[in-house]
Amino acid sequence: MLSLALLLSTMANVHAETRAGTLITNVAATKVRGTEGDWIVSSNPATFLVVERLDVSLARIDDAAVTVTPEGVAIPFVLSNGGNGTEAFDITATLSDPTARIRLIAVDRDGDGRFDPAVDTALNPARTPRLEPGESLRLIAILDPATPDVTVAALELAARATTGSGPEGTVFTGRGDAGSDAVTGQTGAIARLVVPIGPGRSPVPVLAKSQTIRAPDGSANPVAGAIVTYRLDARFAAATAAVRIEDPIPAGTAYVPGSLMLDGARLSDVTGDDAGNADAAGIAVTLGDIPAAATRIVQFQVSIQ
Amino acid sequence: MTLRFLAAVAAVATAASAAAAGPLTMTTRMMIEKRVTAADGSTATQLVPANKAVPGDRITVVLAYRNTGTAPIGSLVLANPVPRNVLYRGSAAGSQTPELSIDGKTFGTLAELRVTTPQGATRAATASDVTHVRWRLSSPVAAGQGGELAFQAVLK
Repeated sequence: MLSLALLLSTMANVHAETRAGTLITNVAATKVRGTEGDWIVSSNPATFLVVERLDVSLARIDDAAVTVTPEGVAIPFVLSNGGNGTEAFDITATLSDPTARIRLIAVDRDGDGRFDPAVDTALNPARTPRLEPGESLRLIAILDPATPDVTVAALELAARATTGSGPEGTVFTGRGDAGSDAVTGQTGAIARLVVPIGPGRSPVPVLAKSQTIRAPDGSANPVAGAIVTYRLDARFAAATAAVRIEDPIPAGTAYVPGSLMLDGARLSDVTGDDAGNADAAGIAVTLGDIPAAATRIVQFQVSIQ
Repeated sequence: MTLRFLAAVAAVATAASAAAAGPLTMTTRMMIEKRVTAADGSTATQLVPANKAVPGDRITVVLAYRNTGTAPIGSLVLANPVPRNVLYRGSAAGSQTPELSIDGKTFGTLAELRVTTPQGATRAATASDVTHVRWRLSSPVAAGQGGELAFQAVLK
């Protein structure tokens, strides 16, 4: 059974987050009314330092089919710094077999999706410049054939924060911006992207996750009580057998009972009565055999605790 | 009642100590809600002193006051500007509910406050618009007595 368990659960920066290294200071004041007028008494300042949260995401710019031609093929993609500090990222690229090779990874400065040595900058080693919080960088990977018969089925790209990566909550003491600690966010400070390759065959389904946030005050701030609606777009470029989509409920959130939907139709949370089931740990939708190219959409909601 | 003017105190105060030598002392501290998981898998929320936080962390700002003099102090108004990059969320459990302001001048309940948009229209204020909170104590603080006030917030 093919399980598309989503590890990448991005809490996107939908609002301007406080930058890592910022000092937050609180001072209170009291007005005292005396016989000779009002007096002001101030408190001590209480302060704390904002930690650098490390998060990253990778996405394709288009869903175009990729074929490795003799002159090479450029695959454009975009890397986004989802953290609240400036951060550089190491990129690795792996092919599913050695019939093709990776010529280079480059910054696509003019954003045209092609490599132009006069304009674009090859990354060697494949490390991005430092990106501002929320900044995105367009990149391209160029593949060349290594043998006459190219059978490569997929390119796997990964981006990892240079400060470090690991399960959510991994701390790198003193290694954040301005001497703050750095801590991995929900992405674990690592992102992976699989790009299907090959003419007419695309065995690797693509699962894209997006979200919208609705806070009690009507804003999109990810605060306690806000409802996050997740949308999973499962794209199948060809027939695919025994598909099941699973997604854990992110830490710090609670599943909203009865919110699971498939292609706009509500599914019950109970196991066995329809394609879906959900509980406090996660959701799962069994799609079974996909007969031909198709896109299925799963949605569910969580509330931020 | 004798009260010395303490305007210079804020500049020299240190984070660790209460900033007053007069009859009224005030100490503020910020606490962060941390979710801790017990061995049985259940989770609980604990308040820990804030020395670092990530955006989205929930913060409780606590203000402790004490009359260290020998006479009661009346008509106390304790004001706390909401720190930069921090969004007001509400009164903390067990604390007197503060009055709120979106400009540091006019105070009231959230429902009484309206925000003027850049286009000149007005809209109802939300908790995120709050820039100042204050508590007016209804009764004098007796010599040797004090209390704690608190509000909840979130780091942007």
